[in-house]
Amino acid sequence: MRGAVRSLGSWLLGTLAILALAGCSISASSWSVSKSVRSSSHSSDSSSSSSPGAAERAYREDVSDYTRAFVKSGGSDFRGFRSDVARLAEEHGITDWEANAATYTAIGEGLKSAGVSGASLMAYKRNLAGGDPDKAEAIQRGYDAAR
Amino acid sequence: MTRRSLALATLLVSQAAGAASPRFVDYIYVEANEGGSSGGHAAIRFGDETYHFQHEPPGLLRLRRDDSQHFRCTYGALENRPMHVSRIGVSEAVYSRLRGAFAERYLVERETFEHREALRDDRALLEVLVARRRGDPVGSVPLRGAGFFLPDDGASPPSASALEVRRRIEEVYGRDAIPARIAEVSHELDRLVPALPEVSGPASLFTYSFSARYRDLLTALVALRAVAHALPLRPESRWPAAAGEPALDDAERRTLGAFADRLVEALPRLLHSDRPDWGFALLVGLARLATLRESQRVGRLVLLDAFPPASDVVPRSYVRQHRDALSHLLADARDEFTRARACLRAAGGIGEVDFTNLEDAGNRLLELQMALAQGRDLRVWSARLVPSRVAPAPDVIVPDVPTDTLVRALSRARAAERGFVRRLERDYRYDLVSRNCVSEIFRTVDAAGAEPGRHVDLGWSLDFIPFVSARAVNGAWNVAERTSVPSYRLARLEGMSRGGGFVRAWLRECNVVTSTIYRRNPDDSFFLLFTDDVVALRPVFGVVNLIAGLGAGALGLALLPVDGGHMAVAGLRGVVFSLPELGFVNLRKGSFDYVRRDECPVEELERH
Repeated sequence: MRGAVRSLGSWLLGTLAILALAGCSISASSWSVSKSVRSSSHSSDSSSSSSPGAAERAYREDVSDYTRAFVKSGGSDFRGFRSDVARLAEEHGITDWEANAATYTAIGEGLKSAGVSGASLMAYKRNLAGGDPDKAEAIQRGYDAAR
Repeated sequence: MTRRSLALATLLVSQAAGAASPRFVDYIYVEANEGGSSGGHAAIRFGDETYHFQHEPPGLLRLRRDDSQHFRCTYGALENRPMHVSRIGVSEAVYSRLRGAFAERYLVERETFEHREALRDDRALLEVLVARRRGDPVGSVPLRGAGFFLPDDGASPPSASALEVRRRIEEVYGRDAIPARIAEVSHELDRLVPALPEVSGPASLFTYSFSARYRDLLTALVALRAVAHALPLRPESRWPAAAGEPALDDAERRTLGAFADRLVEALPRLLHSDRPDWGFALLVGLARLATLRESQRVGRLVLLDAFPPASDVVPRSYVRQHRDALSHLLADARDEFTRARACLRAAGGIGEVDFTNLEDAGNRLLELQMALAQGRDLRVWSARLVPSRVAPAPDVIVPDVPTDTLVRALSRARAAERGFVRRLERDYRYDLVSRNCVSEIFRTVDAAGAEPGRHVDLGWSLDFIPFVSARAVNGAWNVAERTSVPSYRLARLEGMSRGGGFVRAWLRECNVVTSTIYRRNPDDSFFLLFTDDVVALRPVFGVVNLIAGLGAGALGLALLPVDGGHMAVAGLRGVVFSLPELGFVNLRKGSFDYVRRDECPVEELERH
């Protein structure tokens, strides 16, 4: 009996140690006042070390990364694309994202990094600029500037 | 903030790699603490962004992206866990590919989980539409932004700012523009045919769902009617003029006025926008315009209430018991607001992002002020606040399609939702060994096709364990520098000891009774002595903690009818987390539910 208890104890300790050493953080279920009261917006915390323009850079990166993911997944629903860009923009505090030139240059950067070229680029520009030459030009500018 | 940065070594790789390494990536190993964080954690940081995989209910592993300072404050200060940072030198190209791989995975994963929400929304909407078609008026369709103007009491005078926008629309597009657009949108709603989602096979991500289309059209209809009838802003959707703050001076009023004028020019364009959610943007714009004009009129800043309905709530009991902590937060919030307000004096006016920052900071300040002044619940929201007040649609329009079509679509939507949730649970499951916070970082690095050093092979090794993984990274990747950032408590303790009197400070701070740093956190197990900064004495302290846990557990049994078992559980957890201490292993470090902003760890390695 004593042996059984001892081996159960060892097993429990061993399991605990393995779980403790190997497991990953579980997302906290309870709130923390200071974590929640303060904004954790990506690169928007003005008290952080973010350089000036970091907020706009973060927005551009998000739109560019999203565009690349959209293209690489074979996405072709441009209303879905616009709807998602609207949501991304809102997370950066922008509701009038169509009037923000950074949106379209970032789309151009995303198209370039997704490897879009030639006729496909023209098709994306036509669909995403909605016939607006300024937007099409901003997409091209972003595309040309991207490495 | 006291900081202890232990530069362990500077192990720069070859000169060639150093010369071509203008960028750095940080691999971060976070030590364990009790509870949900008992396993240690790993993350990868690219400048302001930190990516990490978190284990979430119900057994899923999700990729999270946090602002780096927020991550450090959460794990290092609130969770009180030391971090070990391995700084890896990489070329610009490798940096870009690695960051791109994590960002892309994050966005695709988010899209995947949003697809689940879309399927759920499709099903819920179709249930409402089928019921309405059968004459059963159950359910409603919530619309973001509609709550600024609905429900319409029909008795309030028309809004002057909405009249401004209406006049501008009529000037630009003609007097019939609004009725014509209402007719178009209504017609489109009537003709909407529910899509039949895929039940099996790969899901089509990046698509515009039926429910999103329906809600966007209905929101557009509400927005058009708000302009057409010049609906006034609902009084409860905005804060009273910020009476506690200084009045707006002439320059600030001019800046707000100019921004409002630009809104009047910009909003009409939304009527013919390509974006499917233009109705929401129009509603937010109209609501903001109303507050801007009111601000100009009364000479004080008037803001929309931007807290979403899903905000977390800090109960009033906590607010009353922790007035000191909330007063510090209030001071932080006032500083933030003052900084955000400074934009109103900048030459060249403000843009939407400036105004959103002001709105965000103002909302957090006002919420804290109200909660403290009135002793009421405190709403909290950690993402950026953008006003989006929800209200149910006044009319649920059932598209003009046969009932059979709706019923068939509902059946498909239910099957698709069930199938997708099953697939999600399979594809994103957490596994202690093969799919955890470490394994997925290495997999994402592999997928990027740009290794920051030698390949780390997870097969048949213990590298899946967070602290072992840090060693693997240090051995295989081009680590330029290693730094340790102490936990919040240890950093404070070191600060106290710096001027001498280490023994006195340590004796005071080594236990939860006399500690001036640690305040009892209800999330922590019951314990008496900290064991994270002692090694030789750890088993002895562990015995004390074990006995304390047993005592608390026994006391908890007696208190069961009074405290609902809280003390008993804390005691039991105290026993469990004392056991490793008997074998020289420390997990429990105590945690904090509040840390002042200026006490959050700021690492020297911020600069890139």
